[in-house]
Amino acid sequence: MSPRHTNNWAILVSTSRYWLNYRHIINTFSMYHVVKRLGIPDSNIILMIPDDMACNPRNTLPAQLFNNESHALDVYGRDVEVDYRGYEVTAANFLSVLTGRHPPGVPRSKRMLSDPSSNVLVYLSGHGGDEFMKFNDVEELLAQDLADGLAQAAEKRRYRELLLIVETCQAATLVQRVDAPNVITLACSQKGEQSLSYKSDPELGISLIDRFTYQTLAFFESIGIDSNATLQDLFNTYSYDLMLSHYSYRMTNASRGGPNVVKLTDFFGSVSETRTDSIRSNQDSLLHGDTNMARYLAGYLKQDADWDIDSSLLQVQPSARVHSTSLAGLVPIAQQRTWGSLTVQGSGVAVLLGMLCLVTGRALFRSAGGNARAPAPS
Amino acid sequence: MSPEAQAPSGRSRRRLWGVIYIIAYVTLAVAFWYRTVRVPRVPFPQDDITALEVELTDPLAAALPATVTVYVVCPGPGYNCLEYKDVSPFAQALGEAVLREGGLQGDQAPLVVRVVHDAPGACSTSSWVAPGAKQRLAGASAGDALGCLDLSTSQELRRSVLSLGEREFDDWVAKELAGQDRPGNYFLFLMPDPWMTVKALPHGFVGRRRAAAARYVPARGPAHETVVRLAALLVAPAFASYLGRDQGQFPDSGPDPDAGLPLPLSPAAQLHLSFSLCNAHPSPHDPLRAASAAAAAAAASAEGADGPDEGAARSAALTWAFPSFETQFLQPLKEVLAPAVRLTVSSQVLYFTPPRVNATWDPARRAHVVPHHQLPFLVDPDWPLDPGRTGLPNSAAGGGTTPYDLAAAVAGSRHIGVGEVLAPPTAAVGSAGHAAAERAAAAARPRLMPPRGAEALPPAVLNMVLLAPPPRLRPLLLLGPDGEPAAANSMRMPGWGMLQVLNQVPPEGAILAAVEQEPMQAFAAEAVSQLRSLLGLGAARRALLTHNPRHNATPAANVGGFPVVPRGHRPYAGPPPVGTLSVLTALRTGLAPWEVDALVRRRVREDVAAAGSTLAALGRLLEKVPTLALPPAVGAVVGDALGSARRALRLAAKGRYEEASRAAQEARAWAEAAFGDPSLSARLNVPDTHLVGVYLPFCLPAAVPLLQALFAELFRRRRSKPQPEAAAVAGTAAAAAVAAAAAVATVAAAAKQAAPTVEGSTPKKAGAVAEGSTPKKAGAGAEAGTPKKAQTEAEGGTPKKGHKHGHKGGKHGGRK
Repeated sequence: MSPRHTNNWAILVSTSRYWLNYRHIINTFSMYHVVKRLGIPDSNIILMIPDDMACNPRNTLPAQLFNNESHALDVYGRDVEVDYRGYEVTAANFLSVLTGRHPPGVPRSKRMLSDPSSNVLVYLSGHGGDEFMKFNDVEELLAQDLADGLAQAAEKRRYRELLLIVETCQAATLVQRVDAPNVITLACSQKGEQSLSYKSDPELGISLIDRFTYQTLAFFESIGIDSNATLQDLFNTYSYDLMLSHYSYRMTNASRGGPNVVKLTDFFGSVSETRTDSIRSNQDSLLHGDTNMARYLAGYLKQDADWDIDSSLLQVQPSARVHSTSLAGLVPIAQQRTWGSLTVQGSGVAVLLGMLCLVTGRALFRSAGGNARAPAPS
Repeated sequence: MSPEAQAPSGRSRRRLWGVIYIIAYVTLAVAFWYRTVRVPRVPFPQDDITALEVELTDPLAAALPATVTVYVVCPGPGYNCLEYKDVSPFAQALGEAVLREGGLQGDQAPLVVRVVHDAPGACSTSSWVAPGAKQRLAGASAGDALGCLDLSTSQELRRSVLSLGEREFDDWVAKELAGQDRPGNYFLFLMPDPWMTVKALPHGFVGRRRAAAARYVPARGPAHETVVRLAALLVAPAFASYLGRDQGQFPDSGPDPDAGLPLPLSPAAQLHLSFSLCNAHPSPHDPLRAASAAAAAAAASAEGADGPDEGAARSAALTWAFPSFETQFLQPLKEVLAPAVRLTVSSQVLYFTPPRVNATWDPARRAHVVPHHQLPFLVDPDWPLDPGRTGLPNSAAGGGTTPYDLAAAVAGSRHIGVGEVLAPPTAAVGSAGHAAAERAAAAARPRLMPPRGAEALPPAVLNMVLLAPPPRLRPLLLLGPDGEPAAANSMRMPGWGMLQVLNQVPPEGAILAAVEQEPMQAFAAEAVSQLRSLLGLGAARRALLTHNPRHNATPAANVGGFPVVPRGHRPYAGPPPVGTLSVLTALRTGLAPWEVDALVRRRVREDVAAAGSTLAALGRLLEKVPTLALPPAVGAVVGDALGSARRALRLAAKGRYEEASRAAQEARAWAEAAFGDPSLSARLNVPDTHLVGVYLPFCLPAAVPLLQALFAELFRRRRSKPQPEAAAVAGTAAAAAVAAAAAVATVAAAAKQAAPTVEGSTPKKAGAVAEGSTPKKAGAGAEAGTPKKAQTEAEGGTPKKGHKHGHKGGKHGGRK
């Protein structure tokens, strides 16, 4: 494990769509609200939301999402940045985020660009069962796939420590195969147990949140960005009477100690080292302080004609292809044949075939004509 | 042949064709099944990767060597010079001193110290090679090594050189060493100075390129302990930084706060600097202003000091002229970093980005202050700093219409060497040959190009933020850990970037105002300074800059002109430093080439190590995860990465910085691209229960008639004596049936749980199959004179009847 912890990432996933699963999306948005409040910027949050509840026609409180019937806190907020939405929320995409395997065109905001000094929070909420979790009602994430994905992330050193929270029925079965190092798993229910909903809202006519997440949020409401609360402090607030399920945790980093030494802000907050020193000397200046130089150079910049610009220095745009050398040829590894290239190739083959037909036909014609003109054998 | 003999033969032939059809069906089905379930994997060069890993355990693996040529000037009689026999021991003493001051081990640092002793009538040289590098560097030729420069023979030249200032001397050295200024090749001039006072000597300085100089008291000579130590204190940080593994700090200057942090570079060695001008509150309507001003005034009156200046509460939206800023300050930085990093920049101006923490009014400083412990929370995560939002890689650097890297071709770089004083370009724009000259100059400039497949690897991003605080909090000061204001009112966060506060007061009544030139220049200098630290190059410069305060052993504040020793640093417990040092700053770039060389050394080591570990990790995963694929394209990239890593090792051993840098970049980029190729994990895990669920409905309809045919054939053979000529056919049929049974054995075994369902559905399916599979028999019956009966039985007869009918028909035919 890297001794330095310099940045945080969060992967927050709701795996359920449709209005009746409002609470699963609210679970995830509530967690999003918490981690943003505690300092993780949007650029370090991968948010996967399969359905747009805020604009659902059955939502009587449009453009708002609440996890409490008091409607005190709109977890949709003013600025939500959903990275994967709708049918982009798949088990494969979730594992891609975890392992960092993306096609070339995937934008930076959809990738977890973590490093060995990153602490990662993974939160999953949705329907599940014995060793599986449903994604979008059409596929399943299996416990073995999750364990393999985490093992690959560990091999690639994509995290320093990872906290995996699962809010689903029989959640403990989903994480029981995880053997990647430096992972802390937290499951809301045991095998055979349900993860139950909470807070029915008469106005919306639906449950707002799940019990485990509600208990977790209730604790987080009391901590700030500089809190020293630990995982054990959070566990102390969990109660079967409230959750109607038994939570469990597992730590694959034996040397880390127990949950009483794991600070919550290590995963839910943005821990950053700040330095104010500036390695400067009295000789540090640029351009002798010549204030006229900027105008001089800017003037030259304006004088440059387009044809005068060395194109080899230009940044290669994503859609462009460099034709010059193999070194700079941006050829993707799994290059797909496009219709354009197929058309070109097909046209080439057609032209060749046409030429072949012409040559063959002409040869046949000549041979036929030649035979006609040739004298009969004696 | 008689009809009696023909009938059994025809049936046997039909049976034979049936069996062949079954075999073909099963064969195709198995092939199809295998095709659909197999995980494609090409051979993985595990042995080669293991060998590479073993090779990388060598402490000198991918270590780029440094050769320091020490030019010792001996003017002649009257000076304490080296004897010929003392040159080699001098080189060894200097080399060992450099290793000691740099915290290096001799067997882990490829250092060469070459001494050129310039005495009247004699020019002698001697080299010392670090013990671990002797074998590697034995074959390395001196190449165009420095010869004597006639400094000892020409008194006039010597006098003119010694009278030069440091910057002028640096320029003179650059002129003399025109062809030898290359990465890994450094020069140190040791000169006796009879004009400076003894108290001021020895004194040394590090130049703007790859040269340094030290002057000493003529009576002491170059081999004096203080001169050797000062030379080592110069050379170790400047020219031997990152020469060893994980070495970026120096014992003398205390622990480096940035040590151990990963380089903020992408696997393709790309770094994107996202410049943001954040206007916290550009609007004059600030509801908090009145309350804040009242509180500050109350606090000030309680302290007996003045409150915040009302004039400072003028608000306007600040903008900047980023294209000229980029041209003036960033373009030279890009060029000097080009051998090590592909640097790109973008800019944006943001409005309404209030700090997340509240500053308090400090009457003593007459400013609002943010204590150090609150600095991590100063930047609000709601600030849209991410350049992805503004369309990375395009940016507004060129007015929103031109690619941000366009400035790589601007006039600012024409005919200007790194660190030189700016000179106007000679070729006029539009003149003949101008474009060709520019292209030639650009091609000659060493730079990293994006390797193949780099588009799949996003760049690393560092934020460079200039924060204009809300007018009610102006002036705003950031406090350091000691409670004093930060040196440049800035801060940095490793992996994130830097932030500087801009306390510019806009003109009265202005709605929009430009950031003035002076703060822009200060921001540029601070951005370079913080970037140096973020790239791990701060320790070397800190070691050089804190030398004088440590040497003087006086309160640093009393030493005019010298930097303050950062608080929190442990005082050095070893021998006190000798002499004085100064560091010349590269005026245009801010970063000197010797600093970039250190970055190249570090990056090459780390890139090759990362490529090896990534490939090894892929190998381990292929063994561990059975569903992980390795398509041929990825296998080829693995081979490329392996080849590039080996090439980087070879080139690094030869000291070819630029080529080794490129090879290491390719090795890491391709290793990452191979590991991160999405086709590897295209297949998810499928448990056995899912296999049953998938294959049972697929195979069972095909298996039932096969099994039925098998049983029917066996039953027929048991009930009737096989004819001699039909025995072979029957045997073949039995073998084929067994093969068919074996092919569906998996399904049968897996279907144990579903056995009742299968059994329950068998008669119906068997009937359906019997109808479909015995048309010829039914047809034969119709031909035999019972068309109605045969049709009736074939269409509506029970499976049992159909089966029986076929069987009987067979028997009947056999009797005939």
